Amino acid sequence: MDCRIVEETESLVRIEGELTVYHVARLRDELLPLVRDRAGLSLDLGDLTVLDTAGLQLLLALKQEVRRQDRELAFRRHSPAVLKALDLFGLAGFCADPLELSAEESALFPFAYGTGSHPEYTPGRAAITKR
Amino acid sequence: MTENEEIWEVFRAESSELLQTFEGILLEMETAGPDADSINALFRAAHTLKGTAGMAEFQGVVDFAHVVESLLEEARGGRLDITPEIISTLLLCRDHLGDLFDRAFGHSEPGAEMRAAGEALRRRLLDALDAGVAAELQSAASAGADAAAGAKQGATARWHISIRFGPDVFRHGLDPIPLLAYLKELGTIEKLVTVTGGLPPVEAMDPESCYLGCEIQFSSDRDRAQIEQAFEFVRQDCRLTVLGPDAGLAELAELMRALPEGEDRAADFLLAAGAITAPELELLRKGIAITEGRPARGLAAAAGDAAAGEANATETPGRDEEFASSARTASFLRIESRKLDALINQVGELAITAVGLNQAAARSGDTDLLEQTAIMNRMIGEARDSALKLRMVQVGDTFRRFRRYVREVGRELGKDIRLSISGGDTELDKTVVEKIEDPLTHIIRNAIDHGIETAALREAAGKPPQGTLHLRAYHETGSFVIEIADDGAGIDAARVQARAIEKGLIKAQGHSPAEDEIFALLFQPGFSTAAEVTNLSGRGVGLDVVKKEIEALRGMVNVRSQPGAGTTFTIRLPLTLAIIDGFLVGVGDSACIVPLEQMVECLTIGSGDRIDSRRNCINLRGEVLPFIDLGEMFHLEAERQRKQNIVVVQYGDLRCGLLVDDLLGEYQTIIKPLGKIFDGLKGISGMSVLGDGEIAFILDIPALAGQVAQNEASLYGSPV
Repeated sequence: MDCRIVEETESLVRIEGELTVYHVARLRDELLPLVRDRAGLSLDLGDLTVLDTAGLQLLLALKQEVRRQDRELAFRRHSPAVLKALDLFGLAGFCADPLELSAEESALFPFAYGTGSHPEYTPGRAAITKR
Repeated sequence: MTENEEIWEVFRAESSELLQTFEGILLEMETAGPDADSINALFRAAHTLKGTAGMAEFQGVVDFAHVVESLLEEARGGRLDITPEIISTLLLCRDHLGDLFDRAFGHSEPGAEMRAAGEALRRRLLDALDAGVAAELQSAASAGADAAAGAKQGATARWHISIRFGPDVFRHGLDPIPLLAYLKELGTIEKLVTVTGGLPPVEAMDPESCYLGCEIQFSSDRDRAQIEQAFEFVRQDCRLTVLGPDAGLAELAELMRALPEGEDRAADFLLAAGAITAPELELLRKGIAITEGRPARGLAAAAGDAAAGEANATETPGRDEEFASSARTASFLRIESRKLDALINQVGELAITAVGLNQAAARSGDTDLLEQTAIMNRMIGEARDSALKLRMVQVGDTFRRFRRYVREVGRELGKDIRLSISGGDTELDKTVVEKIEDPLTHIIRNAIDHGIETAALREAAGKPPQGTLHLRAYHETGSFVIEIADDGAGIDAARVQARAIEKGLIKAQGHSPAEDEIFALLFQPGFSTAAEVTNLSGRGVGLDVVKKEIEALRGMVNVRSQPGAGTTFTIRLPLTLAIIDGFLVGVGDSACIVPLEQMVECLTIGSGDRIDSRRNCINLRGEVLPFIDLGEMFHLEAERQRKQNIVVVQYGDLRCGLLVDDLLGEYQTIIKPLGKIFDGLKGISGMSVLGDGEIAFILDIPALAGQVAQNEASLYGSPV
């Protein structure tokens, strides 16, 4: 399945579908100009059904890019696929976005590690709330 | 060879090795019975085979391997028993996989017959699987027992895993996410820090390349092999270090230095992942901890878990060994043999050049120069030895390959035969190893077919019903020796003699020839004593071919036998085919080389030293030593000097002298094979180019010694 940008406002960009190695090159080209020029932008990840490591890597690179400009790119509405990747790679702290987990999700994704400071982003901290 | 072909070669080598392993484990299981370790190993082999096929994009092989893997997965989970029938089926599967691979490498589709065979096997596997599922339902009740068994598998230990994924991981269709998910099944990920530092700016990155890595603190009761197994498919594409519970600071320091982020940045990640503590890092930075002999420090202890640290310390010996063995595997390097040959050739040429240089140095009389050339010579000698060692491989793999063969042939003939192997770690030149496989097969087939009796006959003779075939390898005075011994009926010397007379190979004689001589007749063309011609051997083509093949390797084969007790074939081979240490002798105006390892001594003789005018013999400290006049044999006669020299050589039990004109000294040389046109030439096995460009012939001592023995026998009708 494809992956595309389905919504784009001043403060929010929503992507939908399968963010995998097959689409990362195109998505990079499409997302870069959007995130680069806007302050306080959020990426809505709620409709990402599949996220592989290549997709995750693109999200991380975008975040890092914005941080280099002393701004933040927030990830919002993490879908289970996104939660799984952040949990496994221990990147919740690095991303430092608030995470809202349903009861089901908190059983699946324990976030047992990687929720605090990260060597590449020492202020890192994930605020995890359970719904 | 194009790059593509090279990759192809790697796949080919890997798949054939894996199939070999797979078969080896199965045969082991057949005798020793299946246990958890062997089933695991079998599963891993099948799993890796599937992975290899997948990487080579051989879909047919993947599909079939998948069924095999599923069956073994069931067995591994204890839901399916590995019965002898399943072992037999799996052996057939191994053959089928081999066929499928062959086809795939040959870019051809399997034929209808092969497809049918594959389908039949697949059905057998699925049937076995169904049976397993039924058993699973039954065993569900006893799940509690399984859990108990799992608990005693081993104490939980703390590991540190450092991985940097290579850029091509994604392109090869691999994704680290399932890999980490799988790792979680093997234990607990205590801490994991993803290394994002390698990520370039977004516009500069190639989104399809992987830039990530992880530092992982991992608790598990699994062993190193099982943990490393989780990374198997990315192994080629990543930089992986697994530090065991007993890893010391020195190992951590080494890891830090090796990581691509640089020592300081890497330290931050290791610190974050709990692999090292801040005080330890401080120690390391001061350079204190890297001194030798510092006691190993448990990773668990670093996490402040002193009790666990002690528990780990008691386990250390076992772990050490494991670590050592895995370190050994990790340090292997696959090299194309063509490259090795080129190196050996170059070192050989270097040795030749050095001889020329030595002579020039000697002529100049410059002592400094002489001293330097002496040192250089020694070093060239060492380089040559090292180069040759590169080609040396253990003969055990070849030996083990015969297990299957012995099993199959034994079954076909209704004989129960055990193959025992010793000296499998004896090393031999790879070229030689490859070339002895055929003659070995022949001799082994003979032993099974003619040597070892049926169980009934054996029992009647008061022997155990199971026959034994023993393969043994060892080094002896510059030769490599293989013995193939069976405990069968032995060879009846009288019958061999009668048969030889019948075939006209020898004449009926008044006296009876020595046993050695009779057995030597077995290697004559067209000789076969088998009463019945079977499917396997006894067609009258056989040992003569074996003898020819072995002689082509500058080797020798003989046979000893004791009626009723068994037969032993002994194959003697040179350690290497490429280079020899020789002794240079002058015959007339030409030069010949005697392989040093076959040389015993040199002596000078005068015209009065011959003890017999009729034949060439001298008295060597009270023993009769027959000799060959090389000048006469090769028609190189020059004006005869009053004093001549005898070089005493020995090959196996044969000892003789070679009459030469001059002794020129030791000489290290590479062997250049003679062209096909010289095939019929007797007594010369090769040639070499001397430092001054002249050609020297390398003497074929086995042939010359054999000829002397023959001459003596024809003169006196008995061996010397």
